[in-house]
Amino acid sequence: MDAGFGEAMIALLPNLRRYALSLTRRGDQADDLVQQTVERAIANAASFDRAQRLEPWLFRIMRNAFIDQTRRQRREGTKIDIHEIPEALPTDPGPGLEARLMLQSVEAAMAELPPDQREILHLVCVEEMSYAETARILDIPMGTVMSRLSRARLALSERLGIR
Amino acid sequence: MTPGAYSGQDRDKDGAMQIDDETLMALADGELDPARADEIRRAVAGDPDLQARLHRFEETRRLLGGLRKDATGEDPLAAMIRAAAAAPHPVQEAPRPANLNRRPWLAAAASAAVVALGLGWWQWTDAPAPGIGAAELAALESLSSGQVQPLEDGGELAMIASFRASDGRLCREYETARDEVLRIVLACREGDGWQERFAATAQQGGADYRPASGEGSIDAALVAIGAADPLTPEEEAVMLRE
Repeated sequence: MDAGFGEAMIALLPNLRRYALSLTRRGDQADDLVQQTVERAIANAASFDRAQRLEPWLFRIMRNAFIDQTRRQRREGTKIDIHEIPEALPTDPGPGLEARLMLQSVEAAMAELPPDQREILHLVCVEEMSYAETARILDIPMGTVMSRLSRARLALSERLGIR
Repeated sequence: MTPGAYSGQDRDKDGAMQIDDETLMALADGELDPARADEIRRAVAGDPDLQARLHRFEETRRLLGGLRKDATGEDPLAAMIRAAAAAPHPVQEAPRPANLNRRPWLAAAASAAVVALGLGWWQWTDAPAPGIGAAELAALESLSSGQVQPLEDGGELAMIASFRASDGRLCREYETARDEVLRIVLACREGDGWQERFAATAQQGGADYRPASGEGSIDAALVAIGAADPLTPEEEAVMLRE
């Protein structure tokens, strides 16, 4: 692994933290997941094709690590109220109150969606992955990306009252 | 698929363009090629219904984009990555606990000591596998991965994951907890029943925890059946119905 690769990965750490939080919905598990992802990425840096974008490659590693982790989770429930996760809520004082309330409604509406819909919304609309990249990260056909994403968008817009 | 390869369009018998949701979404997401995007935009411009449908996709995209917060300060992992990048030799996987990606399980089984590892492979025979009780068989047939159900003797069963073996059969990994004993099992569908392919037990309460590793590990068992990644919930549901 060279310094350029390292810096590129460092620049994507915020994105990894966001995706980890979206997958695990818990701050402590998300931290573990990011660390595991980074360790695996460093160990496998040689296998990364430099012609590809780094971001989808890292997301795929993270998703596989998450599946490994999930396999090992026993009783720890997945039903966590979004308001119990301070990290999941926008905390920066930047946007005005109204904008922050809107962000909170979006977070809350996302939290009510099935996990597969939440995940695809996050990858495409938050992380700005293309449909093709998303298909590779999730290991599903492009047609499935589009149908699932479209259903998720319509479900979200219903919950947010967008007509 | 290349942008624009998706058509999603038809014309009804009056010649009016029918545009489906996925095409409108692809337009909102910038996934259509420019010519196709122009065509759809022209159709949308003259049709309030299409405008309303497009608006839902544009608006959800815009709102979700607001969740992309800028990070403040340097990430604590940055230093670790720089150190790895500066390593003079190609980085090898650092020495670490064999159960690195078992951390959540380790936590769950905190201070459990493995007293018996297991132990190998049950032979492929027609005899019912020892250890698979009726409740476990029922769970194998129907319980989704990630779910926990009580067992008849007061224990508890957690379904961990499902896999497709290289020969196509369904295999499932689960754990049972009974009287302080954790049992980890990999079972594969065999005819109308299930065969145990791997089992290991861990006794809770010891001072140390030793992960199952090497020959007798669940990982080795998964490799031996040729399992790829765990099945998705959808794939699992389909295979359970078969």
